[in-house]
Amino acid sequence: MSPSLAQYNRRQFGSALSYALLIAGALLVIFPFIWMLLGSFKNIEESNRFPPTIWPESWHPENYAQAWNAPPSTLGRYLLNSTVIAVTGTTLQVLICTLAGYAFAMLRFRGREVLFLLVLATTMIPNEVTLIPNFVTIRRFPLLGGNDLFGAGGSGLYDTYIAIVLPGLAGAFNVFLLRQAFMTVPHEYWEAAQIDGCGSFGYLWRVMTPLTLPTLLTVAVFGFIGRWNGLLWPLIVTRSESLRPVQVAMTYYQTEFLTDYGTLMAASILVTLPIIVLFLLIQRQFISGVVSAGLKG
Amino acid sequence: METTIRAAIARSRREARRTSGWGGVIYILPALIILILFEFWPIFFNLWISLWRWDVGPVAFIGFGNYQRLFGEGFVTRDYADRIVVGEVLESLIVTVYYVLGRVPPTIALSFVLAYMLFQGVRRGRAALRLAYFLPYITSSIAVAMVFTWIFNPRIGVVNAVLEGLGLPPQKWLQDPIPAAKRVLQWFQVGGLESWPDIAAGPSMALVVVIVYSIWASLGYSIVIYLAGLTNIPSDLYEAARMDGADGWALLRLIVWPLLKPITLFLVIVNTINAFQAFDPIFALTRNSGMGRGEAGGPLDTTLTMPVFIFRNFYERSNSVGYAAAVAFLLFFILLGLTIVQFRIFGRTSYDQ
Repeated sequence: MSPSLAQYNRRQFGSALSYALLIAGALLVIFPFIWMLLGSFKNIEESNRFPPTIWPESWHPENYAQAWNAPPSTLGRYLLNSTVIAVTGTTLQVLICTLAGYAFAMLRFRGREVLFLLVLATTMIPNEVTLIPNFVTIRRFPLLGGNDLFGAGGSGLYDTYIAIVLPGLAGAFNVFLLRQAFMTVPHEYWEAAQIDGCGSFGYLWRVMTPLTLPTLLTVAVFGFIGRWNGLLWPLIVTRSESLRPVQVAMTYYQTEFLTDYGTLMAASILVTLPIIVLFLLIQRQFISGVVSAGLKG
Repeated sequence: METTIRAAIARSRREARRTSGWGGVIYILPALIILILFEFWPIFFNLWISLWRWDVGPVAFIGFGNYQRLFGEGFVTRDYADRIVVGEVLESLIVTVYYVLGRVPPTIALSFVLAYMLFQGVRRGRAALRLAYFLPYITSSIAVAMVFTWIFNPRIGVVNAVLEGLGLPPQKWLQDPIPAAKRVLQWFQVGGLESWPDIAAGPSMALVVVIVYSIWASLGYSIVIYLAGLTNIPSDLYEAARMDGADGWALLRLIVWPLLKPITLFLVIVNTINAFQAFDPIFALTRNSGMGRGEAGGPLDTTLTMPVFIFRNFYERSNSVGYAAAVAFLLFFILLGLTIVQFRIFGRTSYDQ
């Protein structure tokens, strides 16, 4: 039974309507980015005009130079800080979570089930509860930063890269994701590897990681983006401009360039661009990673 | 003889268990140390901190004093004219609930509709459209929030330009503490809400802008998850239903929606928990709209959700750290209770199907 002409027409119309709505919606969603890009070339007079112009009347690429050189440190310094934080934090996190996920998936040891439940339980603990105690832990870290054994006297790990990176290095959800991925690898591989004289670490390194690369990549990209966009924790545990990340730096821009929207938008573009480029490079991978993380979780 | 063999086997088993035991623990040790130090220990430490008065003066142990303050004047207090009014904690709690209710249901509904249209109506360009909707999710940060403060600027913002073009009155958006519902009723010149206290009349105009930003930033995630769920529905189910003469609406109601219920549960829980804990959007959008102090949560505390309340007391003013810890504990129990309730409600209905 073939669909009647009326049905066919209705479906075509429905499809056209869907397209129109979806494209209109997408334009609305993209609009802030377009506005940001066009605005980044407007001078202070034009960006404060009402009604606003859409296309810049005159182009001012020097906004980017001004945003780049803005006080109290240059934007380059903040971008470098963010890169250091995101790269080292993500690398260590992937390493730590891979080891844990592998042990929970493959190795037998006493208390495994209980420990795994313990790890999963941490996903229920909201950030707000850990915020203040973690700050105190960092500040009172024994024997570091001039502190004595009881954490008094100095400033502990406060105002260091370590303070920014350390608390987020485990990530229970990542351990869970990697464990799921490792469990999909057939057990025969392990037996074959053992016959070839492969130990449990060699098996993880040579067989498991290549087979679960998509999941590892997902964890890494999630970790990178989270750290790049991170604001609250770095804001609280640092004081020196020389190690604060870009998102914290943006708060100065907001105060410094109050109504100079051209420069503000130029800074926003420079801060957001690395993430957009990274995302475009691996978007297929990443979206399927989000999906598997979401649907399994 | 037999017993010695049995003993030997038992010994070797014990040994095997013990050796692999240490091996396994060594693998998880780094993760475990960090989780214990920065996730579990803080719960107890936070409780401990909340038992102290920790402000500008000397630190002092006050037992449950912070909790007395929290549930006492924090919930009900008297204003300058000695009238009984809502306390700061209850007010913050109400603002948080407005924020969550304003953000989560629209996110779920919009993402479902958009995902369904993407799945049903679109063959070419689906990847590009999905990309467009997903972009805000990964870029949401204080840098991107800045363009929103420009777009919603009361004096020069493009949104007000559009409103003016449509013949509607311009708004003060992020600087407006008046409930949005009152403003809308003013447009249409109908009364009814004037006598209500502002806190009871729904989210302020400023909070509505924060909600719009938050929906914008979180929509893409839910769309992508829904889209994957739709793709997982076996196509013969659609075919069978079509054969039985089901039209688009029946298809949606009888097949798609029931099958996607577990995904909806997941998205409701994730979005609710994220919304309750949201800090960055509110901080980024409201920091400069306050009365010159540069504090987040303004104007007139109408965007002061609980995470921002905690931040203000702990960091911005750092005048009552113990009190902030007590409020953090309250938030923790609210979230825990909420998750359990959501599992109960949705869990039951999805098993019934």
